[in-house]
Amino acid sequence: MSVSLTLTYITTKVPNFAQGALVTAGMYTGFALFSINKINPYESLPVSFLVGGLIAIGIYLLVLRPLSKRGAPIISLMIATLAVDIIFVGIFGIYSDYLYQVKEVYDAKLFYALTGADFTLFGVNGVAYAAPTALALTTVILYLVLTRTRFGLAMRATVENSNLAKVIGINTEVVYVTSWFIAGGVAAIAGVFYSFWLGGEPDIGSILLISMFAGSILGGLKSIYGAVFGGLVVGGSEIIVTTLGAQYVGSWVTAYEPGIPLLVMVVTLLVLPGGITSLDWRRLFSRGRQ
Amino acid sequence: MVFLGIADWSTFLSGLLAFFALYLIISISLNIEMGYAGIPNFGKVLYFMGGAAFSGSVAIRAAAWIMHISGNVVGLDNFLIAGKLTSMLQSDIPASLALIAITVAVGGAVGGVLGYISIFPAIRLREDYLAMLLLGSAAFFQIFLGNYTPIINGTLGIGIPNFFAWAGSYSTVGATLLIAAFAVVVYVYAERLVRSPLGRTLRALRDNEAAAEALGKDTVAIRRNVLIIASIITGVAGALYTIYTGDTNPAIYDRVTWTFWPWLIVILGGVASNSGVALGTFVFVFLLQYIDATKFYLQNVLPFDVTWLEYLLFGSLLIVVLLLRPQGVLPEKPSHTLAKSEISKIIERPDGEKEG
Repeated sequence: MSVSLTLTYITTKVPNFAQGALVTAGMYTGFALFSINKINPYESLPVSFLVGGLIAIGIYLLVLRPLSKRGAPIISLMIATLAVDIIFVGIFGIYSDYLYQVKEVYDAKLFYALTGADFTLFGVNGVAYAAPTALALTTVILYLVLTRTRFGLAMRATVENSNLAKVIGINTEVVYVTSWFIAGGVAAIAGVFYSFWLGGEPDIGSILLISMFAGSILGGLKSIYGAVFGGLVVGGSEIIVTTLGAQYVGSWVTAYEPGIPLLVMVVTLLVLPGGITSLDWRRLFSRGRQ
Repeated sequence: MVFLGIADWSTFLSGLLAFFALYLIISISLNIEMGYAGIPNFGKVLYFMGGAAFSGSVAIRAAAWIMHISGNVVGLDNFLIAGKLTSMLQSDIPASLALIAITVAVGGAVGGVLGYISIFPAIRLREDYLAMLLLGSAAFFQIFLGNYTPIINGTLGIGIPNFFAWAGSYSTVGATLLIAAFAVVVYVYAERLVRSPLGRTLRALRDNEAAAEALGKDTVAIRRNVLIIASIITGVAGALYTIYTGDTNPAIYDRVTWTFWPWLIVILGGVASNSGVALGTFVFVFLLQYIDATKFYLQNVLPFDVTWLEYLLFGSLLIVVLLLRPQGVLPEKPSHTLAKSEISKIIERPDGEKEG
């Protein structure tokens, strides 16, 4: 999730508050296909990817591009993505009510983890293997695309300096649309994995958003690899701290789980506003000079 | 008689006035922060929630203390105690008024404290980081209130006594008038603020911070004061809402209702324009209340909750406004230091005397 947020941030320089909506979109695509068509969410992952990607392209083309062309300030862009998020909460709300009343899917409004659809391996739920594998795959593919292909070169050039990229003949629009598509797809897949782990509801994105922001900020908001790291740290610390806390302090700790990413965010912003990647770079540079 | 789909016009209009006044207070305070001081506050609900929840918590404790009622006032007996206190307060106007004052004061104080805490990120961070942080904090605070039972009994919420019980059947009207009175005070204050030297400094700070600093303005101190004032106003709005509804529950403080709607109002009406915000509030609240009052017609036809349509409608409205008229319906005008009547007097003077 943090990876996709960073991907949209580096391309448009706007924190996308609608990112939670993309995650929820993936979640509900997987859920609907599972409960109506009995298709295993793992098999419908490509569909979820496509849905998330197309929604992301829609957000970019219909809302953000026209706005930034008019030279709207960043505050307007942020509130516009928040508006998009709210529109999607409405859409998912309508969709879940529709599933509930017309298709008679009675847990559509608030469903629990789809562990029933998951496979088990050595007594551990399949998602525990699948999600890290998917993350590793995504990172490796992104790395290869960014460093080994002409398109990746164009993408990096656009991110570094979009005007200069335009001058040398790169179609920056294609780059933007593609990166939003990938970002949306990745977010949607993350949503599917999340629904294996915990349940979902139409407004789940608002809580997930804290974790995503925390991961991206910790990763420095500018680097995809930083976001992978940040996401791992935030997700890992959420689970580890709450599990340990529940064991040693009391079960009430689990309820405050969303406080951990918030804490991570606050500490990062206070101690290391550039995120983890800014720190590493500086060290590498100073060593290089010595 | 059902007219335009509304059966009970007096209830509709009374609700319209209450919510108009309430949203006017919040939107004006947001406008002071965002429009004049340039602080994009994406955590508006935080101060509202704080004011509403803590004032409710203190209100029922104070009422129980005055009336010498013991027991777990925010626990299981809460609604029993609240009902008992309401009937006791019915004949005790001074105590009711005192409790209203206490509730409002607590709301303002909590809002102010939360505002003071938000200064630290607000003066350091860039607007995108700040927005993420405040949005996240508000979401977490809601979870906190839902799980930490001593304040408002967690997700169950608490009821508070009706402080307008002495007004009999006019008790809702009393609460409405209280909110309206406060809205008038806030509006007048904002208008005077804009015309004051501080208002001009704020706009200078928003438009060119370096220049304002070069002219010797303490930008940090000004931002801090504005944020605290706006937060106090929002906290009081929360307390007034608690008095109006008579209960407080974490579930009602969601980011759509108390952060996004005020933003929509300010952008719709016109950033940094108080009259625009007032117009935006009226348009928005009228639409919202009208949909609320008539939605049961649609509800029978549609296979989903009509509230979701509100999300779609108002979300799209905001994007349309941003695309077509980013300055709002009534955009910011150069504000005049003198009252309008004074200016027209000056204009009407014979030639040669135009000055000032």
